[in-house]
Formats: sequence, structure tokens, C-alpha cells
Amino acid sequence: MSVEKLVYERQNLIKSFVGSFPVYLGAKIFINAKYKEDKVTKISYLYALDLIKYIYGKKSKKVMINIFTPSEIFYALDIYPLLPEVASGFFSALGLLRRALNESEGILGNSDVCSVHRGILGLSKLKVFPTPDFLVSYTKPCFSPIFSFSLIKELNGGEIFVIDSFEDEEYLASQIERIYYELTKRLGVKDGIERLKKVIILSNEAYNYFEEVKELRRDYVVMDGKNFLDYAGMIFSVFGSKYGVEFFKTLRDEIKSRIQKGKIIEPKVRLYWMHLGPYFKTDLFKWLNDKGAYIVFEESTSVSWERLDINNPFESLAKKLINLKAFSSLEDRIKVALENVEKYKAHGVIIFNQWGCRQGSVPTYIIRQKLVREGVPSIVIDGDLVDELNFPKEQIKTRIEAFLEVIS
Amino acid sequence: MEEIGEYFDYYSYLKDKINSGGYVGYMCSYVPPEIISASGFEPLPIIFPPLYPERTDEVYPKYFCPYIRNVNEYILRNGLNLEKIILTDGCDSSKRIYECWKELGVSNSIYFLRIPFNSDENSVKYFATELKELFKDLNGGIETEKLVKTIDFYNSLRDKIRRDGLNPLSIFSLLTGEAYTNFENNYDHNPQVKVYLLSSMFPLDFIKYLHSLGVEVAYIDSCFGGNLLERVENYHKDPFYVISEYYLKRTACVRSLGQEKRIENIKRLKENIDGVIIYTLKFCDPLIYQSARLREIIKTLNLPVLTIEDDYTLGNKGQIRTRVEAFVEMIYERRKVSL
Amino acid sequence: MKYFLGVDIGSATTKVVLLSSNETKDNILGYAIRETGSDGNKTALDLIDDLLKTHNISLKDINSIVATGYGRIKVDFTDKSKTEISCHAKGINFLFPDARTVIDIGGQDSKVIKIGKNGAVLDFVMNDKCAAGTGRFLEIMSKVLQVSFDEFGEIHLKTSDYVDITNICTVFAESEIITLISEGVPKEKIIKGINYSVAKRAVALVKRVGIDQEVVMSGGVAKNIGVVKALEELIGVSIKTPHEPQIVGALGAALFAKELS
Repeated sequence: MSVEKLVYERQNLIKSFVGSFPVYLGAKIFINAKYKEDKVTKISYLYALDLIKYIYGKKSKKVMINIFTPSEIFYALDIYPLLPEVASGFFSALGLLRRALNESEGILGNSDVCSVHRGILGLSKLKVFPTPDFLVSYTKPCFSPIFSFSLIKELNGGEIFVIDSFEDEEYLASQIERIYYELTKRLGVKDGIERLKKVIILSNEAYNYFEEVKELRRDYVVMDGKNFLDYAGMIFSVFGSKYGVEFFKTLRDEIKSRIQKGKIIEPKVRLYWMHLGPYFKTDLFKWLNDKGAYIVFEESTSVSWERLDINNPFESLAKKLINLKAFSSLEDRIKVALENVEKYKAHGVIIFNQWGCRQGSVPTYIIRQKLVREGVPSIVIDGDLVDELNFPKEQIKTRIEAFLEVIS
Repeated sequence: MEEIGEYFDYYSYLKDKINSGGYVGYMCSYVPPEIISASGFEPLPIIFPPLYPERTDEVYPKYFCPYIRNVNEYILRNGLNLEKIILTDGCDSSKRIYECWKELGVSNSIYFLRIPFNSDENSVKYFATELKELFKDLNGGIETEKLVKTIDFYNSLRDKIRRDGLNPLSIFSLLTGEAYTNFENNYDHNPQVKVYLLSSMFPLDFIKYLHSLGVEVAYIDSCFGGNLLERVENYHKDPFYVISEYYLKRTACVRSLGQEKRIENIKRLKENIDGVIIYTLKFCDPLIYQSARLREIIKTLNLPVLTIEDDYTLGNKGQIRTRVEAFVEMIYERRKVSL
Repeated sequence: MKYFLGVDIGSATTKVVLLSSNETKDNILGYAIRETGSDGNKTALDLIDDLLKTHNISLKDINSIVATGYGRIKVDFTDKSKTEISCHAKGINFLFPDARTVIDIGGQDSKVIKIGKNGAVLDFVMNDKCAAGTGRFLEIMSKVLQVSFDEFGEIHLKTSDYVDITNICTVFAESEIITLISEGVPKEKIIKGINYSVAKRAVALVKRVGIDQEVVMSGGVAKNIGVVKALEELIGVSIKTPHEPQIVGALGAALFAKELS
């Protein structure tokens, strides 16, 4: 039986497997053994295992959130939040998203919307995702999750919360607080603030390692930025959990170890990547590496915020959200790009255009123009994050090749 | 200014207004024209005739709201500098075009209005503050009395439209604060087939085209607002709050998550209409997502639904015609059966 | 005995059906198919002429004519026209009274129609924007492979596995197939893959309308048993096809001609 069949047709098998302790233990041992050397991947798979065990558990509260909704408030309640957008990318990486994408055409009658969300709808309709109890979405970076969550609610059920922002810290803080207290009430949790404090400490600890990683990358390239495009899922999911601390610490240690061992890469061409990149199996990145081109920094990794204040958790979380400058306004993205091009000594910028991403694609040509005017060679690549049918590989390679010739 | 065809009267009015000035343009049904009128400006819904977007393709990718791209095209081709325009974060395309237009200096003065997704108490209060800021920006101060008087006037307009006619485009008299009233022309008061038109933005010419195929649009439900016009009530003490609540909670805009009111309205109108036409503007995310469910629900009400997908240009008239004719044939068959 | 004509002027081919009708029964007396060319009106008239001559009937014996298809608007020999959606529904209902879902894949477009007991259209969805998933796609690929698409069906049945054509756009798929040929992939596998490609596009449409049995295919592509089989497999339901799937629209038009007189 193929994995695809298992995932889409025999979900009850999977659910009973993860529920069973010996299987769970076996999987853990397997992951530990297989990824003994690649510790960073090991941590992310262990996290994924625990997440799967949690969301398919009988008694757990299942919460779906979009990528910028603060994960901290859920970890404080011992909830592993499910990020359908990250899951969509994950399924695509495993080559398992096609059925979901096809299914979504039946639901929407259309394939023009963001393929990540088409995947989410298909996965929900086909019951690969569990029926959510709560769906929480922030209005940034885009409105798509608000609509797809709304459809999931209609198809499967659940209660939906939308966090409006208005660029107003106070207002945003009050909304996050409201949701947190609503959840504590529903779950009968008494020590909400204490739990939140603990989680904030973990989030800050993880963040410290995250900042170290970013600093180290200024001087040394030890792995292609494609890895960091993959880690974007972790950046959105694990702050506030112990996995967050472990993951970023391990990543930092790995980078340091490689530097120590002299496993340093000297790219011929240093690239800054904007938006995210294709998750499905493609030889695009290896092809780039073979040409001596490496991604030295990415928009998704450039997110930063002030350390969270345990005495003002909601205000500092609100501040974090408002200051997330990835996939944000035209002005912010250009500013951040220019800053990072300088910091990470990039020779050029690749601006990736995700099919169906309105907020991302509207300003792309203008962003490119501005960067070029500032002396930074840039190129817009039209592609898809999760649907290889919208990714004309040869055309893209031809374009990038020409771009690389321009830079060198 | 490039020649506007005589296909639609409103376009000539628009052209004159832009030339003469004294207006505030807007593109979203959450912008209360009352606020604009109360500030002494003429509210001007920005809808241009469809053009092939060749200039726009130079600056923007193809895959976002064709209506916005069309407005952009018109502005570029005619070298327009819109005196004042209000944009909102009603949708992702609109939110980003504001930033792009600001960057490129497309208008002398662009105001950005933030619209909550929620319509609970806090959101209503917040939106009321946003509207107050808009009023201050247009007026220089807050004169609540002016707004109250204007709401009075708009209510009378709503009553008038409800009373006088079924022509769906009569909402333009409301949207312009009664500055534009010339819409009676060729509306058929005893149409063969009456439909409810659900859309986000659609080219006004679509209504005329449907008319030529024997289909009259009896009700519009779109980004211009709908013509189900309830009065604004109880606004004398805190008009900003009341306006905020009215605009957040009524049935306009496919972006709002609660579609129940829309369904209720359609249920109520069921006996007066033969079917529903959903004009899906290409790449319009809110409509694509919402119409998935709406189509199913409307079908359970035993109303035929036709979906027309178009990129604002009505370029494929032959294909649209076939679909509309097939829809009409379907309706006639149903009538035969029910007799 | 009364006589009726149905004319279907498509962008690729024009079809005419001659229907005879008495109190008890309707009968398809004859039909004709020809390439439309540049003047659909003239082609239709010529076709009608030839068909009537063959059956020794003159034009004045014809009670009524209904035109359908893309060229229906321009004809001058009748003012009665019906969309091909209604006509396909009517035509299939005549041939298969238990049919409830019609999948029509023609030369330039494809549609799925939900029909009621008497052939009334209950719901429909169309793809007329894109050549992929239509007869045009098969035509182009047949030229690239230098294999007549009439053979696509037989080859499909004889071949065990197939190669997945990943490109959904006809233009890119063409390059993909050229690449496969140059890599030495056997033509049979490619052909089977092409059939699956067309079937998959149809499945997407079918899902939008929903499947109600019996399911019947009409339109020129229904002659390709490979696409039919692939579609059956993908939707998990058996599909019936008429002997002459291309004339279904014209048949429906002839039946409407009878109804309207």
C-alpha cells in the first residue's frame, strides 16, 4: 500500500497507530537512529511526530492557526497548534499533495487561489486534517487563511476567531488577550498567566538562539538558504515550545560545528531570496548550487522582534506581530531587502511570486525596479510553492541562468 | 481624455466630475458616502469602462483584481491625477495597490481606511474611530451635526429608491449622494427573466449585456453595495458609531464571513426572481472562496445558479452568451414543469 | 409523417440530423458530418442539401429546423436556435433515457451537464477557455506523434502502463511529449498518458457538478475508448457512449425542432 493511499484512504489506521504507545515509541527510535548525524532534521521530525500524535489524539483540543498567529498562547495551554499552511508545504515536500489539490478544484470550481490554501481545503475535505475545535487567524500576512478557515468551518465544523490588527498595539494586545482568556475558560485552565510566563521564557530563549544563527550567517555560509526556506515552517510553529529552544539551539550548534570543522562554502554568487520557495521535490536548488550560487539569506528568516516581556505578555506579543516585516508592505519589504543585501553581502535578489498570492505578487515588479535602482540586481520568478504543475522548471532555470550571467 | 464609449451614461458623468473636481473617489462598499457628502465633497464611485490593460502590464503582474488593474489602466492612459481617493484593506489586492499607488504618486491624496473583519462591539467602536479620523481628514474638524443631517438625506434617498423603482443601478444615486440620477433609460419593467446578481466588482456593461439577452438584473449584491436598502436608525446621539455598525453589519461585500444575512435575503426574494447569476471576477479571492458554499446553499433553495467567470473585459461575449442562453433555457423548462 | 432537421455548427465540424416523426415514434433517418471551414452557414446548407437528396426529401417537406453550436447565431435558414447545452441534454436523453450526467468533450470545449428525467438541463459547467482536455489537445498530440488519433483508443487498450504527462497546458505538453519521444519512451505509453491527461481535465469539471448515474459521454472524443476507460477509472463509475457521439447535439436540435413546431 503506497503512503499516498495510506494517508488519504486509511486515516483511521494512522490515527490508531499514533495513538498506540509502542508505535509512537518505535517511530521516535527510528527518527533518532536515522537522523543521528543530521540533528536539526531530527528535531523537526520529532516535533512533527509529537504534533501528529497530539492532533489525532482523542481528547486533545485541535486548533488551526495561520502562520503569524502567535503560537505561544497555545503552547501555554498545552496545545500543539496545527498550522495548515505549513502542513500543506510539508505534504507537498513528501509528494503527497496532489490529491488534495485535485479535490479543492471540486470544492472551489477554480484553481486561481493560492495553491497552499487549495491544498489546505483538499486536506480538510478529505479528512486528513482533523475536525478543528478552533480556527484562529491573524489578518496578516494575507486574508487567504481567513477565507479557507471559514470554508473549513462550513465543511467540518469549529469555531473561528479573526484577529484584526489595525497597526494598533493596544487593540491587538486586547484581542490576543481576549482569545487567550476565552480558551482558558473553555479548557478550565486556572493558572493561565503563570503558564503564559513560562512559555514566554521558552520563546525568548529560542529567540536568542535564532538571533545567534542569523548573526553567524553574516560571516559564514555553511548551508544553502534552501534549508532555511524549509525551516520557515519551524519559525512559524515552534516559538513558545521546548522544541523551539531545542531546534534553534541545535541549528546554532550545527552551524558553529561546521564553521569549526572548516565546512565553509564560498559561493560564487550570493543570493537574497524573497517570499518562500518551492517545497515539492525539485532539482532547482541543487542546480543553483552546482553553478556556485547559494542563498545566503531569506525574507522569511529575517523576521525579528523585541524580547517578550513576561510582565506584559499580550502587549509584547502584539508588538511582535506588528513588527513582523516579512511578506508585509511594499516599503518594509524594500527596506528589509536592502538592509539584508548589505548585511549578508548578497550579489542579487530573487523575488519569488507564488501563484495565487495577491498580497505578494501585486508589488513585485515595483520592488524589483526599486532594488535595481539602488544597484541591486533582482529578478522576479513566477512559480508555485506546492503545486509543481504551476512551476515551469525549464523556463525558470533559463531565466535564472541569464540572471546569474548578468550578476557575474 | 480617451474616448469613453456611449455604452454607459455613468462613465460620462464620471469623466465630467474628474475634470471639474470637488469629489472624493472610492472603490469599496465599506466607505460610507455619507461621510464624504457631509464633508462637502461629492462621493464618486470609481468605475471605468473596460480597457485592455497594456500599460498596467508594464508595472504589475496579471494575476490580481482585474477591476483594480482596469482603474489603474484608465489612470495611466489618460494621465489622470485623481484629486482625492479613498482605498481600503477590503481585500489583499486593494491593500497592496494602496501601497503601490502611494509609492508611484498616482493621486495627490490617497486616504487608507482600515476595515475590521469582525463586527463585534470592539470592532464597531474601532471602525467608528477610523471613520471619525476620515471625517477629520476631509473636514478639518468634527461637526457631528453635519453628519446627522447627511444621514437624514441619505435615508430619504434610500426610501426613494425602494419606493420608486426596481432598476438596480438606481443605487448609483445613493452612492453619489444623488449627484447622479440618470439611470432610467432601457430598464425593462416586465422582464422575461429576473435574476439576482451576486458579484464583487463587475463591469457595468454586464447589466446591459444581460438585458440584451433578455435577462434583467433585479437585485445587485456587489462591491458597490446592494440595493436592499435598510434605513440607518437611531443616529442622532452618536452618528459615527451608528454608521460604523450599519456598514459593518449589513449584507454587502463577499468578504464578510457571516453569509447568513445574504442567504436570508435571497430566501426572501426567492419568489421574485428566476435565478442567481454569480459574476466571478477572475482572481477575486473573497468571491471565489465564498461562492463555493453559496452556490450549494442557493441550489438547495431550488434556485438555478449560473456562474460567469470573466476578467472584467467581457471579452468572451460569445461564451458568456452561450452560458446565459442555456441558463434562460433551463429556467423556461422549469417554468413549463411547474405549470 | 413529419420531418425535422437539427443543425450543429461547431468551430471544427458541422453536423446535421434528419428526424422523422409520427404519432408513436421518432426516428433518426440519417445524419451527416463535415468540417465547418470558414463559412458555417454555407457548410450547413450544403450538408442539408446532400442529406435531403440522399433521402429523397425536399426542403419544403421539412417542418422545422433548429440550429445549435457556436455558429447558430449566424445562420440564415432558421431563426430558431438552442444552445448546445440544452441540445446535448435532449439528444442524450433520447438515446439513453436513464442518463443523468452527460460528459461532452468536443473539439474545442468540454462540458458536463446534469439532466433530469425528460432531458431538462438541471445544472451545467463548461470549460471553453483552454484547449487542454478537449479534442484539440488530442489532435495536436497526434500530429506530434505521427499517429492518427483514431488509433488512440485501440492503442490504449493494448498498452499496460503509461507515462504521466505533467503539463496541463497544451503548448507545454507538446514540448514535453517531444522530449519523451527523443528519450525513447514508447509511443504507446505516451498515447495512454495523453488519454489520461484529457480524462483528468474532465474529472475536474465532473466534480463541480457531481456524479449522478447513469453517466454518458458525448462529443467527438467519446469515440476514443481510451479516454472513456480512463475516465471510468478516475470517477469509479461505468460510462456509456452512443454509437455516433458527434451527432448528439444535432439530434437534440432536431428534437427541439419537433417540440417547437
